[in-house]
Amino acid sequence: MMREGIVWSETVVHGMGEPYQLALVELQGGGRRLLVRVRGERAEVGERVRERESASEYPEFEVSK
Amino acid sequence: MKRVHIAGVGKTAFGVLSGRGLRELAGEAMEAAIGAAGRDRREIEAVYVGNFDAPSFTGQNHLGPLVAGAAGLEGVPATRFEAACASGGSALFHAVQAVRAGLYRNVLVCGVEKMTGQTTARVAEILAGAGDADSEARLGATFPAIFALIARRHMHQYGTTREQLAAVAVKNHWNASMNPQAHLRKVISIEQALAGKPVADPLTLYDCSPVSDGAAAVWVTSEPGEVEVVACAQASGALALADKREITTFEATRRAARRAYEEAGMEPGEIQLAEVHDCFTIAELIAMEDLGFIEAGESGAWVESGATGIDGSLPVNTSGGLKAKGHPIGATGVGQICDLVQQLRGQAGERQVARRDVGLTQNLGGSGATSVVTILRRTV
Repeated sequence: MMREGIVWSETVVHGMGEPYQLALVELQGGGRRLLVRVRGERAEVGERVRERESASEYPEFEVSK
Repeated sequence: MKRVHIAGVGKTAFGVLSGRGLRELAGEAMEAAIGAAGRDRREIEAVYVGNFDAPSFTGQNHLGPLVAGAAGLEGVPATRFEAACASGGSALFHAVQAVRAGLYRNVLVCGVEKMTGQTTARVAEILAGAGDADSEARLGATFPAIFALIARRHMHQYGTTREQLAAVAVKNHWNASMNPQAHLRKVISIEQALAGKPVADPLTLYDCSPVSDGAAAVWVTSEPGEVEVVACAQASGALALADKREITTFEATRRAARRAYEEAGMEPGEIQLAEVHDCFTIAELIAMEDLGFIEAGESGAWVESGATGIDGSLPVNTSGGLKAKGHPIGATGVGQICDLVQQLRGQAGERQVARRDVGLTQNLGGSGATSVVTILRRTV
């Protein structure tokens, strides 16, 4: 089941190859937080995001449309 | 319980100390501390070493005997303490407890780290080991990234600004410019700090402490002395950022501070100066709040007002802090004690503060999973 949540905090990391976004996401239903990579459009604090299909070994989310 | 004093302190300069290894750096700091104490080194009954990750940075493990030997102290128990960036503070905490309990009368604490000579990427990888390997390091959450997440939340929750973060860097660079042992002695402006190379939004290069080499040593004793350790408390909190109830405060610092103030029988308002763990500018702001110097969310405006400058109501990081004095990880917590003792003894030169009876140090490990708070008082 793909998870959804709200961005609690976020950053874009520079200087380690291509810049990438990390977000601390408060997951829907329970208030548990999860650190994730955000793909695509940059997610802002308070924005809704959802998990996306990924072959990577860590959770990847994207902005919910 | 025995009362605990500091017999002597010593440190190397912090910076890129090419061609000088762990043994040499530790030896220089310990010799300086022993010399400052003016006592016979044969009185030292144990050596406690603060070090984060010499095996990864230099390939050297088993630091206890290596460091003890560098000061001609072979034979005494010699042990390494690791608590990420609070390794030095943790070694001091355990030494103080041992002397208080009467286990030893004299313990030499030495913090040391040799970090330079690695690529930036390798340093970032080693430092990431201070966080949660599964949920943070694996995702590319470097320490600047972790503190950027903290800063972003503080800005969102309290309205803290980039200019207020920059004000911490400007103040600490100014202080370091007058400290001959500091790594970065360049005075910077708010504009320069704001225009720094982006590292992890909203943090730029000027929000980050440098990668430094260095060592510091403190002789802890049950004999009376000029400076008394009236409190030394260590506490822990959740390791991973995602597991913390709040990320704009560090529970470990609040717990350690509460215990330290209780031990000392003091209130935050009685502290006259402080050396706090500003690995990133946001960490100094949060330290102000967690130590009870200012209400949550008000530290940014407070620093911007000049209150924490050398001539302010509470001078903070008069040494230049980790931000500009440098941050050789294992040495940092011990170095803070050296800097505070220098101020309490009235030996800080151009950086000397006016009120110098009671001061505090705070040494943080990881993203706030370990914190050590120490309060020192001048006795004469």
